[in-house]
Amino acid sequence: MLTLKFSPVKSATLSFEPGQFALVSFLDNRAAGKIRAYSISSVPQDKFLALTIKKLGAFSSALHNLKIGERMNISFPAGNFYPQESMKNIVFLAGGIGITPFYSIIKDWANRGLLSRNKITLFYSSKTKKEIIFFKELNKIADPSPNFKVIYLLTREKTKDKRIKKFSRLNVKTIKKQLKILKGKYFFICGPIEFVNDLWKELKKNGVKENFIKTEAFY
Amino acid sequence: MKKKKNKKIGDVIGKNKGKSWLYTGIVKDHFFHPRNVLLDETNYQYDGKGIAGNPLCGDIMALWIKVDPKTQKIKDCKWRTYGCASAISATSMLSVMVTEKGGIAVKKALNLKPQQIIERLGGLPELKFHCSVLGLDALKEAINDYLKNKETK
Repeated sequence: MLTLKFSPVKSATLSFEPGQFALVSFLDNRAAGKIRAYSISSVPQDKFLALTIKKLGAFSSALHNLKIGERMNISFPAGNFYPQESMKNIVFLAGGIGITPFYSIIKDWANRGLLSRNKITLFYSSKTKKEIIFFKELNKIADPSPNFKVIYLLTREKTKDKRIKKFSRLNVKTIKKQLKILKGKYFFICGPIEFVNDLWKELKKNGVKENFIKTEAFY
Repeated sequence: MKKKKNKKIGDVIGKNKGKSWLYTGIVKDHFFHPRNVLLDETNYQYDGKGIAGNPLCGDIMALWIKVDPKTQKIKDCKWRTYGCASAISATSMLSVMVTEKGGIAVKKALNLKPQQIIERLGGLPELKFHCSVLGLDALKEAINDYLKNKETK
């Protein structure tokens, strides 16, 4: 796991909505001129743009080998995977590296004081405790805010950490147990394709309407 | 030494999962008989146009929509692609989904998900998921183009 921080060159601006992604490409022929999309993990208040990247394939490996000071092409932010302030009760379902857009949104909303008016529940599934990204940062936001709660799930190991109580895959049963009622809440799902597809199907089966669900799959 | 036997000869097996890659009948139907394809747009009066894809990776999609100004519903959707079988089938299905039953509202179309298209196709191999996103990206571009055009009118 690696977080890359970029500063704009010359007059470029860093205007984006937390939850959006940017298209990234190399200036030379590394990664054969390919373009990849990565969610932005920083917030608009930051003076830099951060991308948090898991080493998965050739492209992300090349990113992991970047040297400090190197330049990259980064597109205008795109995507509409973010909540509206009018959504009072929001549920984030994150699988692994799928946490990145949510982290940006949560941090931004905390910075802007929106967590006093809007309720966010984050279900965050990881394989192991070591793989939980932003663990400390999320807890720092959750501890003083009664309206923001994180439910951590681990699928491959058990720990004695008091903050982590669930050791299973994320399913609607777990979500229902925590939320009691699904109706009227807005669901955002982000993670690997299977994670997103399964939860989308299950939520629909449990009566959640299509316009209350937003998805973003990482592939 | 024993040789492993392939259970399904002629089928493609996904390299990660060993799962069958057989396409559903609906996917094949939409691939062999794609709906709403537009080969020449010179005389086509559209309200919004979107292009998506990455010419470097090879897949590119163009999509056009006509919108009913009163109801804000999509009344026509045409597309053309240089893409794979899954992209063709998925976009063909997408063009049907946005125009059937009198069309869906543009605002609602912005929240269409690849999962909905895949469900209507009866499934798509996981490694082909991104192909269903291409048409959606072009549709979102087309809707944004339409909304921009409407503002400046």
